[in-house]
Amino acid sequence: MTTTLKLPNINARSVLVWGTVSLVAAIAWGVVAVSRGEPISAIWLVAAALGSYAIAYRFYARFIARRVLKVDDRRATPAERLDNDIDYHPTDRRVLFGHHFAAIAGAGPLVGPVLAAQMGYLPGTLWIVVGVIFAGAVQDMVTLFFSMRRNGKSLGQMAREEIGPVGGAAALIAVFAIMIILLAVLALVVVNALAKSPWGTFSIAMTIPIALFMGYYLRTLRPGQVIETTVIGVGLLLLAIIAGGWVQESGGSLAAAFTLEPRTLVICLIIYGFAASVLPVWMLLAPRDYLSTFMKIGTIGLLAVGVLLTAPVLQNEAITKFASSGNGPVFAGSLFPFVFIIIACGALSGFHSLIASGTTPKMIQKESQVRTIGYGAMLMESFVAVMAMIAASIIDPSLYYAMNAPAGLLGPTLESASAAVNNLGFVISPADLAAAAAAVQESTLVARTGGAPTLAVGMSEIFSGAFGGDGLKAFWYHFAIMFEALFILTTVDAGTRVGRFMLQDTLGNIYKPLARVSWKPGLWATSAIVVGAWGYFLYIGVTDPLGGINQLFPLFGIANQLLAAVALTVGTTILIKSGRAKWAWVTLVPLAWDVAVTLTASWQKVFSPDPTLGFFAQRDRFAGALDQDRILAPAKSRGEMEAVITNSTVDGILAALFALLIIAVILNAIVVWIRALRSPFPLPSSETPFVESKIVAPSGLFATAEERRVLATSGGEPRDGDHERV
Amino acid sequence: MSVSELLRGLRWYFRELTGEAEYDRYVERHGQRHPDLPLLTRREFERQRIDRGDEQPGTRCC
Repeated sequence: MTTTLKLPNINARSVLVWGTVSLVAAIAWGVVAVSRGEPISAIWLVAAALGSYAIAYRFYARFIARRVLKVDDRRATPAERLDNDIDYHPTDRRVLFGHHFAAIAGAGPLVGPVLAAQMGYLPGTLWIVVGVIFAGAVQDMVTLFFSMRRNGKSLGQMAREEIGPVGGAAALIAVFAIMIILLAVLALVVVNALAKSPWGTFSIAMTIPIALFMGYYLRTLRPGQVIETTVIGVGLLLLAIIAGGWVQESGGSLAAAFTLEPRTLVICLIIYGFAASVLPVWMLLAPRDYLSTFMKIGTIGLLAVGVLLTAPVLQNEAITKFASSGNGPVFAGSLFPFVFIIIACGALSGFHSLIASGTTPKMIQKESQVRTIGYGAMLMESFVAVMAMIAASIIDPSLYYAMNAPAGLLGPTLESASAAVNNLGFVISPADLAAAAAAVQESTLVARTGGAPTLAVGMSEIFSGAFGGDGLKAFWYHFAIMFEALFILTTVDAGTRVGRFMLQDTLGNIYKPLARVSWKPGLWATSAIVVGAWGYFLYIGVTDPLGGINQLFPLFGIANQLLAAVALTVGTTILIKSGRAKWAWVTLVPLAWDVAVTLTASWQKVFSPDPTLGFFAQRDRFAGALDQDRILAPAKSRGEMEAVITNSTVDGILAALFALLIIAVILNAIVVWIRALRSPFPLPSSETPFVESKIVAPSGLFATAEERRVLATSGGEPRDGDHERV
Repeated sequence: MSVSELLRGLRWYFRELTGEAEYDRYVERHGQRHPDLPLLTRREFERQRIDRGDEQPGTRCC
């Protein structure tokens, strides 16, 4: 028997290029890892990340696409077979990349790294880069591919069909739970960024009339003119940021009207979330989405340029003492597992599997494009997370802790905050704290937790360094706040709506009319339940004396990693069932890591005897004190003591529930794996049968010379993108 | 690549990304696919397009 050995296309140029890229990445990692004590430039982090991404995309993603998934461009995708010009439609890969990136990227990769900077820039950056290469981008690409082979089935449907009813039900509960916690935590980030800031609050409030105007303009005045409408909207948005400064400076009743307490903001957000969920999408949701997508792509691009132009120096340590001691003020727990929980979205985000099994698989032209869209878009999101880590690490660490430690620790005055930061081992005077707040024209920066204000300070440093100088610092700070709040509110709108649909769908099995989108009482009731659920967690987050971010962010991270475990389990199961067990390590290794991280974190959150870490230990400590009529700091009254007890109990039960869900999914999957491995032939597949493709399209973002030749012979460069029917 | 080519490429990209180009495609294909149905005006088409979002919300991640 002869086998034709097909040598990979090795040529000298390719060896030279990839040799150089590897060398640059290796040197950059060397500098980042070895430097101790002396500050290094952020450019090294950028070089290390970009070099690693390039190698991973070129080699590992290609290996997964060709060998593991066996992408087949002769096979028609659902977009081609079921093309209806509505949800199924073959879309140019560059356009789909933009859609997919806009759907997966949000505030998550910006906020998580800022909090993780507590451990130093090194552990977080390593996980963001290594995690995305071996876990996050793999999850996105594999889920996208398997969903595409099943006509765009959702993750929940795939879990039910491939694993079983237990896996399916657990996936559904996980999706709903993560949605609620995600919305609460993100809304909490907005509340912390806007509290007592008339500038920020005014600018964000103005986005509502701007969106309503855009919606009306697009509906009645200029139907379909989306670009024109978005340009007008962005112009008005910039004006709103500038006007926010005037409102704040005026200091009169207008400024007072926009100076809101956190609790008032919670009520505003709940009303807003409900309204956005029941109003038709053209009024509020669609125009906001256009604005937010435009701002997202624009600001991320601007940030990358800013980092390259200013090449800021990192002030943060590579690894701080909190990495091992586990008693950091921003969030409790040591490096393992909490860095991997806190950096949710930039490295491995379960939420992405919902998008990779939602609209994207129905629009893909060619199977091989899963590499560009699934893997490539996630690499870009990871790069956003690296820039967020840089922005958090270029500010003075003492200011970082003054902004990110809970209010209960920092106390009410600049003096108490300064003393608390000194206790942590960093030096900042009350005058410095006042000066830092004055530079961005905020009343105070103390205990502005949630990551957004810290990121905004870092971004204002970078932007004012690159464009416009110190005079524009306050503008850039509020620009950054606006940009984050805009994304987050768009996620809150869309998430509430998606949660409402899921609830309508599920409850529709019990009482039919509830499933109908047009039945108003059902619409209002389910919207109220979803808003009420995240509103509850938002409220306890805002009022918790121990600090809502400190308490809730780890829960959000656990929920997101849990969903990633479901997605990776589905991927592993399909690989094993389809006779590819020898390649199952591609999803099994990240799954094993993710489960180890998530279960360790849940275990510690439930069973740790340390009251700052374990929810039930915390509950016992406060309940015990209350029995003896003692008030424990930072609580100031019996009411606050009771709040801590209730919140710890609720949070502890949730952490336990998440852990049980993950165990249920995996045990159910293992049964299926064993059955599949014992079976002499592959188990029945839910894949749609082969249909030959008639479309020609390139697979990467840029067409190769060979692809151009094929395109040319199939009828030249067509009008809508690079694909053509032959 | 000349400046005008770049601008044309950007315009194409944003029209595709925002869905502005969908009506052109609809008009082009209407004859082949549904010659029996009346051709929708831009206003009617855009209303139908955006109102579909009421039934199928797109997820946005964190």
